[in-house]
Amino acid sequence: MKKKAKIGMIIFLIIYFTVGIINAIYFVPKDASEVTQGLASRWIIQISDKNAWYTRLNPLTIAMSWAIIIGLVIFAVKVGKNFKLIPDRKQSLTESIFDFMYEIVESVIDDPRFVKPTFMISTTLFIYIAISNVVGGAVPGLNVSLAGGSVKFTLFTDTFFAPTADLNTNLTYALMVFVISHTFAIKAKGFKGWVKSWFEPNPIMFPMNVIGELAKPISHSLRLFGNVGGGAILTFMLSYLVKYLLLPVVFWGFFGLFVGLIQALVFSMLTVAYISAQIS
Amino acid sequence: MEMFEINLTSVVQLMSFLLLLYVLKKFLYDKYFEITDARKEKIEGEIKKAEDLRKEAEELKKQANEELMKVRERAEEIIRKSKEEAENIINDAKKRAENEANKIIISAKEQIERERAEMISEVERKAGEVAVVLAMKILKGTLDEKAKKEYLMKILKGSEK
Amino acid sequence: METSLADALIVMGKAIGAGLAMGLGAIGPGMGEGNIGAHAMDAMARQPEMVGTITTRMLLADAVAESTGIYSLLIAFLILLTL
Repeated sequence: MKKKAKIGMIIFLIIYFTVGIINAIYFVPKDASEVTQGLASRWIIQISDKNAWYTRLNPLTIAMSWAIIIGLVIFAVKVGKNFKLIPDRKQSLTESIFDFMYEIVESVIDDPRFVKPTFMISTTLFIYIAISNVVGGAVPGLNVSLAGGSVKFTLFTDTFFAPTADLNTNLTYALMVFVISHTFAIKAKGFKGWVKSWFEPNPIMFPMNVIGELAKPISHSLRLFGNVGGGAILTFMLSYLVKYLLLPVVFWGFFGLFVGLIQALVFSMLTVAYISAQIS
Repeated sequence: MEMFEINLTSVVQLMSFLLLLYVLKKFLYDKYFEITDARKEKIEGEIKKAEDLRKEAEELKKQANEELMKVRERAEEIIRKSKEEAENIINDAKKRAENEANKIIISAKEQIERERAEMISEVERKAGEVAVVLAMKILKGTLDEKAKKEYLMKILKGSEK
Repeated sequence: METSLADALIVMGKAIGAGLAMGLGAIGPGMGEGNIGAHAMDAMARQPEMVGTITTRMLLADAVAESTGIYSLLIAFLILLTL
């Protein structure tokens, strides 16, 4: 297994350097404005003639997130099939992540009824976002650029596209957490108690409470989006500055591993904190 | 503003997240909870077992201690009893010896008294005899001085013997 | 390539705006993260056995304090690239 991994690594590095040299010769744009032009645009396709929000799709986001989800499902089925009392390596990795999250959730959530659902939601969010951030920040891969209306693919000029660098993903998850926290609040306090919680400490504060609650999902999603999206743009620019040849490994590692993992943890911790603030 | 566009992708993302949540719950979380519960139960059972064993050992120790105390008490009693008996025996022996000694002393004294009394009575008798003989001699009146002396000397010598 | 005065002014405005947004927006998070780091160091010096927990919490607090800086980064990109 170890020898196999070594051989795979060597093959990957050989391909990587070859493609890097080809990129450095053929694909480096002559003008810097050519690089920054397509940075803020996304590859969006329209699935029908009608131009509305429900007919437009980001294929890159969906493809990357499905790749991650399929990988996770395969891992889960493989590990879950022989879950034993005495764990092997993969199981102990899973269990150490779960233990870490479960301890935090258990210490934050007071009501024992909501510990397990909160744990499931926050852990799933953590695993998914962490993997997508790491894949999107630290693994060199396919870059999709939009140059003048046509889609151009280049290999190894950038890291993979992270699903969390798309605001669709982040805002959806943040709104989902918002809805879940209020559902839990209604379950925990009853409908009357939930309505009453909007008028606390006194009815004058009602608008402030509404604004505060609505600001939660926005800041929740924009924090992750800004970190991952900004990191992706910076990584792309740094890759251009070194002409795709030398690897800005430090920056990839920083934006991918460090910031990515911390932001994933922050996202799931804030999920737990919002739910706990609603049900207490 | 393509960077901030919200479109159908969000719905797809929500669906895929719910699917991921379901699969992870079915394959990982449920089993994780089961395993942790089983582990907790096992550890608790083992702790309980150990506690039971400890309690049993303590009880056994207590019993042993009690028995030991009993045995010790009994031994002490036996020793005390034997000591008492020995003292009794010694006391008895002493008393008996004393009594016997007293008896012996008394009997010896009595014998001495008796012998003395006998001797006194003999002396009295002999003195009486001498007096009688003397009186008879005086009564005869025919005796000379010389004969008197000789006779007296003879008697005296005889009484000396 | 001929550029008119209006185009040049637009580019200048974009550059100044993005620079101001990023520069001013970085002051707050910088001070906040400095405070967090200083107090985390204090706490670590007081309780060296808690270093692991404090480091984790410090990174979390850093990430939260950083978010305003990240917003300004987003705004700067928005001004430069899409406006």
